[in-house]
Amino acid sequence: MVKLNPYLKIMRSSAIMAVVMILFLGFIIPSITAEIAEHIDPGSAMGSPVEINGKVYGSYLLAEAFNNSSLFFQARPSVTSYNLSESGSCTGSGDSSQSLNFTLKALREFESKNPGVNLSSIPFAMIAYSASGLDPNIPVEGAYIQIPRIASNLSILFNGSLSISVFESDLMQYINSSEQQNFPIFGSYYTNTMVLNVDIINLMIKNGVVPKSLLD
Amino acid sequence: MISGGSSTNFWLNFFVNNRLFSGTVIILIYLIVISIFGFIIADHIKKIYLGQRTILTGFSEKAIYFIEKISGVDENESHTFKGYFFSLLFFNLMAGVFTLFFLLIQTNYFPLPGQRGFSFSLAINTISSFLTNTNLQNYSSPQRLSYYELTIVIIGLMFLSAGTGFAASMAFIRGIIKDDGKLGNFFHDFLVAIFELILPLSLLATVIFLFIGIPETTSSFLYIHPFFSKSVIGIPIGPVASLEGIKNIGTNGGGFYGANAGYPFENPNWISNIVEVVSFTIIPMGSIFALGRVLESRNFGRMVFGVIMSLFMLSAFFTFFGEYAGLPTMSNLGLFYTGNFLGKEIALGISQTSIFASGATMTSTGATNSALNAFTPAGILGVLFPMLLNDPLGGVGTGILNIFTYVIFTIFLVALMVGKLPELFSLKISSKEIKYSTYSLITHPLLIVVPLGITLLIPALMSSFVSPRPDQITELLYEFSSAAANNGSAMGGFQVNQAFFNILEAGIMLTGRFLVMGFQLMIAQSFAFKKPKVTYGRSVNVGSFWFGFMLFFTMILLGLLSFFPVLALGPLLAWGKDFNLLIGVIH
Repeated sequence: MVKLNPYLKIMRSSAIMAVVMILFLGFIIPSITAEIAEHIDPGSAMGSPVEINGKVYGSYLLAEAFNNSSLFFQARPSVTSYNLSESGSCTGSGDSSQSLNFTLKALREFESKNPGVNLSSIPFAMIAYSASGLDPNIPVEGAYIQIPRIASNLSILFNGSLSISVFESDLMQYINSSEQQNFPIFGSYYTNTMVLNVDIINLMIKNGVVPKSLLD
Repeated sequence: MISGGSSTNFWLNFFVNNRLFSGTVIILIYLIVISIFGFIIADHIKKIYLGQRTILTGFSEKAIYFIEKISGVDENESHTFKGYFFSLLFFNLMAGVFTLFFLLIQTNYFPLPGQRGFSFSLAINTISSFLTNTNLQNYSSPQRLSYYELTIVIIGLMFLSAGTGFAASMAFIRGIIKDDGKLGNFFHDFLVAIFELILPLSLLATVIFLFIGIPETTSSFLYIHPFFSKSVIGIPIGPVASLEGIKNIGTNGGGFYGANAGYPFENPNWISNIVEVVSFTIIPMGSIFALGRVLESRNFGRMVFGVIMSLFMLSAFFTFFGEYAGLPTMSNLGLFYTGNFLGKEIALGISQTSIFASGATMTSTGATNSALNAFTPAGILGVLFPMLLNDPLGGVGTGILNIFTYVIFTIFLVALMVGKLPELFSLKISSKEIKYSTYSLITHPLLIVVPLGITLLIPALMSSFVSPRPDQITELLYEFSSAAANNGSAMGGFQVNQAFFNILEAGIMLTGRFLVMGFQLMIAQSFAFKKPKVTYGRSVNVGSFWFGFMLFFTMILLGLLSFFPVLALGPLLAWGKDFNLLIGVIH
């Protein structure tokens, strides 16, 4: 073998090792992991999908635009208008007028949708945009104050066959079964609007009163 | 305010409803957990530093032998600074060129449907960013990257940059403990770092993330039919858990999604949050514990840990209290206000967002689980200052290099003040070490302040801002300190994908990484020729409390001297304005 200049030898080794290691660590390992993960646990490996009758309607981890319907729990406001193929938050800083206007608009919307709710009982987080724009979680206090609105609208949808108080206790039960703390013992309580809304949809399906265009 | 199903008792009120108290406790628990895991891994890292056999050696030596054979590396060939640093630079250059061409060719000639091409400046910026462990993302991920780019370019470079950093620290330690003038073989160090430390830990992290429910798949989209909509939407998806694993273990920080760890797929709940915080602090923290064991001076290790933990607590609590106090414009709306929830996720809350943000800038991770530009001025100050000190806890490996430059500088100051001999572990500190540690300490502020000044003078660039004036300065300062400290945390707030910022930041990142690393390895080379001497107690005791005290204040003082004017114009001014502290002075 020809003896190489030490620097040339380093250069040759660098080039080979850089390409080999990038392909091995970057491509081979993640691809193998992904293949194994898909076989072991297809559900969570695919992003916790919401499946109803075999059709995927979303993910339990991402909020969707239920804001136009008064039958469902409303998630936090989204700067990207709940566009699931994007994510992001306000480009202005927290004390910019852009951010203040967005928050005030969200507050007015929340108040007009949930009339009769006391201002001091609305958690600030309910009207504050999230980091991703797709945060499905809300504080439990933010879920409780939406119960009266949803219960009365569900009662209308069911043609008054069930009283408002029945729906109220149903909704309360949904919240209680889905609420969790964001840290053991010390965390504050929150609940997932996607889980709650799927509970409501299942209730509708069970009683055969599904609103038009919901499950298209 | 808790009612309904959860029973309202005294302890619930005490623990949960008092958010200031419970948040403080949560942050303390995080800090304790981080320290415990760092302590556990320290023994393994010590063995790697000393070249001893570890539990993984049986497996790793086969892989290392195989790769050394195909690339023609002789592991017994030990280099001096010149050969070592040349190997490091050329290896990174090759990796950079390979991935740059791959990225440019794929996006511009074989784009995916709907994929926009990378401009040359954006590609340069992206490659420099991932090559230097910075991970600033001027592109919006993941829509712009295919599966092959995400894996080969992003994940590949994440491993490479972490391995390079750790190899540099192995050479540095060798320079101190040996006296034959050699630093070792970069290729062998790199492979040992990858196969004995970084790869096993990142696989472990990936498995944990899989159990938590983070997606991991080879398909590019999760197709869904949203409620109330006839359309079909593809949610970008891919090897998220793999990327999260190396992103955190390698203190890289570049996320799969634009919102980084704020996106629920990357960080769905507190379990994933604490796993991520532990995984990006485990190697830096473990290296610091290992330092005391390797140098056979537990006191020194304890002192460094104490200083870094003080800085960590200062940063975390500053951020938390700032965020908890919130913005007066919002807290005066009359709502039920429990802190600044703008740009934060409910599943994580304010305390866990604060500790994540401050941990990400204490290390060189730069991941974020919140929108940093929605932070309060006080909160952002807590997140910003570790970057101004060049990430005290540091990245994989680079943390040790950075803390040593501060230690050497402090020894010099202390020795001058009290008239002792400037010595570190019985090795005399001469003008050469002082010179290079000063170079590396001065490079960092220069890389931040000079580009900041230039940018402020160009009106065309400043017009792309959306926020009021003091925030612009904060955002620019944050961007450049993130690039110079190889952190990668970003506030945004302006259009970063412009040729000017792309190229300027690429230059800052490459200089901030390789020039500073070169200076630091020069110090190691200089130590490598020195034999320990008997000291007779005339030298500075680097393991003592008072030395730690001096080190802490030297770091703070250097930071203040370099950055106070720009801090006053940025976050401090905005803070004063928010709380009306500047009545009649500034309108």
